[in-house]
Amino acid sequence: MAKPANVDVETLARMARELLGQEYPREWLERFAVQLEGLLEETSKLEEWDLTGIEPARVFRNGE
Amino acid sequence: MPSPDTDLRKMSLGQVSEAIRKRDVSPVEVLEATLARIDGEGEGLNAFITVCREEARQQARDAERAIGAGDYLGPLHGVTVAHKDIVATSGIRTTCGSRVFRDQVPEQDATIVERLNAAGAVMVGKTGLYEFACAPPNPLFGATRNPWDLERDTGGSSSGSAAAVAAYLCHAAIGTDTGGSIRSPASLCGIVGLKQTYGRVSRRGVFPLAWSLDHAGPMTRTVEDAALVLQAIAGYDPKDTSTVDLPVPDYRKALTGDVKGLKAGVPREYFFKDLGPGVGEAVDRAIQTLEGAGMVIEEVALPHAEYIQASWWGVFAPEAAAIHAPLMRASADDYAEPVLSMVGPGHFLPATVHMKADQARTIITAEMNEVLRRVDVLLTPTSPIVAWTPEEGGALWNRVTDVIGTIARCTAPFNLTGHPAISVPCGLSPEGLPIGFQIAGRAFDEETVFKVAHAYESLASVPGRP
Repeated sequence: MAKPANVDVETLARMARELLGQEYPREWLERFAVQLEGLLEETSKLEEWDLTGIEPARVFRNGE
Repeated sequence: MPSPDTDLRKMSLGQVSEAIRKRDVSPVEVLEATLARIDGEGEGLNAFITVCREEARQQARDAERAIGAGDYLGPLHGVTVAHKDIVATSGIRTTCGSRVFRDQVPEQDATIVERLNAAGAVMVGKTGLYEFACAPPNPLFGATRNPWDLERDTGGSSSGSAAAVAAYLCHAAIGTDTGGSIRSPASLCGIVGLKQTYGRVSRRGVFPLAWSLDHAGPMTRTVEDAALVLQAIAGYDPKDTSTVDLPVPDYRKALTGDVKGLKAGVPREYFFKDLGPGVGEAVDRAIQTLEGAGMVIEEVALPHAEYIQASWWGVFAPEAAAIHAPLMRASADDYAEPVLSMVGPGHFLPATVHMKADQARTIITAEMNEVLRRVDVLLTPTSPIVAWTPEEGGALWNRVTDVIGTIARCTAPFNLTGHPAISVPCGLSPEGLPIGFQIAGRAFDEETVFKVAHAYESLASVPGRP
């Protein structure tokens, strides 16, 4: 099951400052937070899947 | 008796090409009729960002002269094409649909452009798109209208390419496809859209969205036309490390109409969920048509299909964030908010999630290959829903991760695995809007995909746009 994600806007603002050197308007950060929550929720489904021993598709080529 | 212009308007690329070869019509006549349509019925569509009238006229005159001198280059010589405005064109503004590149004029053509130029195609212009092929709107030029209903969206992100082809404003257009951006608007606009195998076509000169998911390919009115365009653009490019040095077959030879004995898998469990009115019925009728032609149809399952969207996002988000990071640092104010909020969050996704998504991709791709060892093609809907109104669109894009679940649910899996997939029109919804039928195949087996799509197109009487 997907885990609920809680993204704090202040944390996001700090990360944007530190990682991207950007000061975004608060309303944008609030939108970011909604999208990031969605992204974390969607990808959290992968946590339930035991992929031990599986190589990442870093050498992904052409459906092989 | 229809006028010559009306005849030209309805001709497919293959038909106009044959008329040019036989010198029944000249490239200059073809171009002038096309430009007149762009200025006429194209007026309210907003399909083009830039119309390259003078450059196109020069190309058409060159084609006419060459053909007159017996130097016929092949089926694309003198036909009109357009490029999504994210494909670099030398000396012609290439905006990526963004204020960030509002004045960008590339010095070099993308490889696709070079190849279409070398084939003698006449480029009429650069088409509209979602900003950075990512999310609506296009803040510089606005939305493209759907030729079937001007109040409806074309889908995206190759919006202008789909509308231009559907409205007879060019014979073929190039789109790009990271989660369905060729096939989805093709479906919504009632045309053919191909995302060929990853590595089959160079993307050099095409601004990336997510390296390992991106494809650039043809959007046309017929399957034959898609085969002709792929023929010209496919093949190894030493300047694009993702391309593969494999021979390019003669795709038109695959268009025999004979599909007897070919096996098709129908993965109902994932691909047929939550379809809009009329979509499932139209696709089922298309499947029955192919069964009637002698194909063997069986239901198949992709055991971990439920993880496709999670894997796609886990791959997409960090790739898109990495691509856009330098631009976001330099020009954040020039981005429209929807794109920032789609590519921005990837900066904050843990690297472990990205790697796990890539592990999942390994399994999902292997399972797709396993199914495609047992069947020749997979048959699915293209877009689960038909063209939407602006109000419906606003709700769709409210939370971007929902977009894959609604709009790109059936197309994104083949970006994740790299397999070729084509969308062909298969009917109309109760509101009279086009529905698309997707045929996916084995890696580098575009021939079988074309064969099945062409056979269906020949057998079905799908109403085309007036």
